[in-house]
Amino acid sequence: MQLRSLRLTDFRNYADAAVEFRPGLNLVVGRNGQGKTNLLEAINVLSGLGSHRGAAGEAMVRQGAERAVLSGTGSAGGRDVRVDAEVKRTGGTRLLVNRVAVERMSASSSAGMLVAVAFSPDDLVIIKGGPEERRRLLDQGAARVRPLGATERQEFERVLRQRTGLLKAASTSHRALATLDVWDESFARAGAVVVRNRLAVLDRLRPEVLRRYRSVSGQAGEVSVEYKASWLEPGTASAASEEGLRAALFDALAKARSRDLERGVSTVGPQRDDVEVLLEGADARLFASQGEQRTLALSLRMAERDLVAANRGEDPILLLDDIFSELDEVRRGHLVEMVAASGQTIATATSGAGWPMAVSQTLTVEAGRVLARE
Amino acid sequence: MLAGPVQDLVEELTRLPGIGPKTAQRLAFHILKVDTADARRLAGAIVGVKEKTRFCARCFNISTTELCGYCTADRRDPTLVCVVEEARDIEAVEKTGEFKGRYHVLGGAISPIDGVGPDDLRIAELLARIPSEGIAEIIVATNPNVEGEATGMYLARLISPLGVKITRIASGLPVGGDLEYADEVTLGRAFEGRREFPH
Repeated sequence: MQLRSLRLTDFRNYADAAVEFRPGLNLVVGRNGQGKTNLLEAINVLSGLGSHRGAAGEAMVRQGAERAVLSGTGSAGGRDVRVDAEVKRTGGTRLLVNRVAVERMSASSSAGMLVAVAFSPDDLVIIKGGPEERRRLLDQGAARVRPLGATERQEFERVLRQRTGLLKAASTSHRALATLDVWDESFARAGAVVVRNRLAVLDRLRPEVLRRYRSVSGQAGEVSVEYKASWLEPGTASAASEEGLRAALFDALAKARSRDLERGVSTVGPQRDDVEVLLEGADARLFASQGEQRTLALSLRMAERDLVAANRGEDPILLLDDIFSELDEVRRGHLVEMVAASGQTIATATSGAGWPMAVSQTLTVEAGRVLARE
Repeated sequence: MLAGPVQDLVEELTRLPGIGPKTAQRLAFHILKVDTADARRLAGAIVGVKEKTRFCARCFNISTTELCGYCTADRRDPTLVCVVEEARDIEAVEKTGEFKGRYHVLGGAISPIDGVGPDDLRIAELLARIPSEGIAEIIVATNPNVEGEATGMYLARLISPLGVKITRIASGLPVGGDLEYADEVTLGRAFEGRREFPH
């Protein structure tokens, strides 16, 4: 999988820029605040995942513009591909692959998408941050494996918003309550699909995380990732069918109803679930050292890469956002190994010096302009 | 700066759905150029649509008379009612030529975030029609989205206990297409809504 060209219009600090990429390692250098990370962010948006920094559309559109337009060409699945994205200031991104809207794409044509996996120093939040960071890892994974996963999650988000809207209205008008049964049913159905997708991703990530962790840490540690949902019996998640999940969620909503009405929010469901990263059986968030946490975060991202590679039958594009500065010698070595074995990598750094591997081209970014240099 | 009346027209046109400032300006200058008679006809049509139409007293379709054409037609089956969100949906169903019953326009779909509950839709009116018209089957043709499905489920909960058959139109594949080119959502829904071959 390869990105050959990228055009950015009104994206972040880029008014209008065109960049050509090569196979192998593309190094993007420049001082801070010139737009290096924005370039990686644009590629992440084109791979259908929005900002790897979790930014909203509003933040990605250049000041004074109504929309940002991105356009990339490359190859995926042995075919030429063109991806266009329009990010609206008001929120929402429209993505076209070979000029067909993603949500209208057939299963066979979605195999031709460009997929990127981003590594950033902020990845540590996967371990140290709140549950939403870990849910995002799974939801993004689900969307990467199957574009429909993103649509299914949006449908759940919509039902969640409607149910929450109803709970809020119910506090002032009792008649609004009449439809709560119906929304609970929709919620259970859409929520079960989201959780089923997450569990499927988790099952495939688990062995890869363990393998990567052992390799990077050089130790035979036991690492596992487990889905944690207040509405599921512990340990039953992985064996649950979609129907089973739906029934469990529906029951949990019924039990939570009075509390939900009192607080005006949905207190159970996929929007509250978490993923526990366990190191030697203990929650890594609380019990792992800073170094172990960094290794775990890196291993999770690498496992995500492995998942995409296995799913697509080819390497995804790797995006490394100033990651080397944060890593020690050993972890750096493993990352270098991964990059060397990959088809294409786009990495940012403040300087081009000291790269322990062959660089295909160096791009210099200065105030929203990109210059190529051999 | 445009002359006052032109500016007024541009502003009014901009308020129409799907019309931005540039299109509004183009339309306004077009209207400036046409005969006064043409302009009067356009203005008359706009006023006429407001003054000469009303809701059908039975199904809430747009009508010029007390009851709309579908409700008064002899050939249509009064025991079969198709429920739609908006009057414009009736035209879509009519184009198929497949449906020979009557209609009922809800006036939207249940959507708590927009403040639309069952009482804001013409659901009570639909329930009242069941005994008075001897309705035997209600076909729910709301939109296939989150709100349309919820509205359909709500109607089913109300109507099933009354002993009236309630059905949902199928989601499925375009006729004459290839499975390979179907988008995943539609194909998935088509599997969910599969049916047995008749014996």
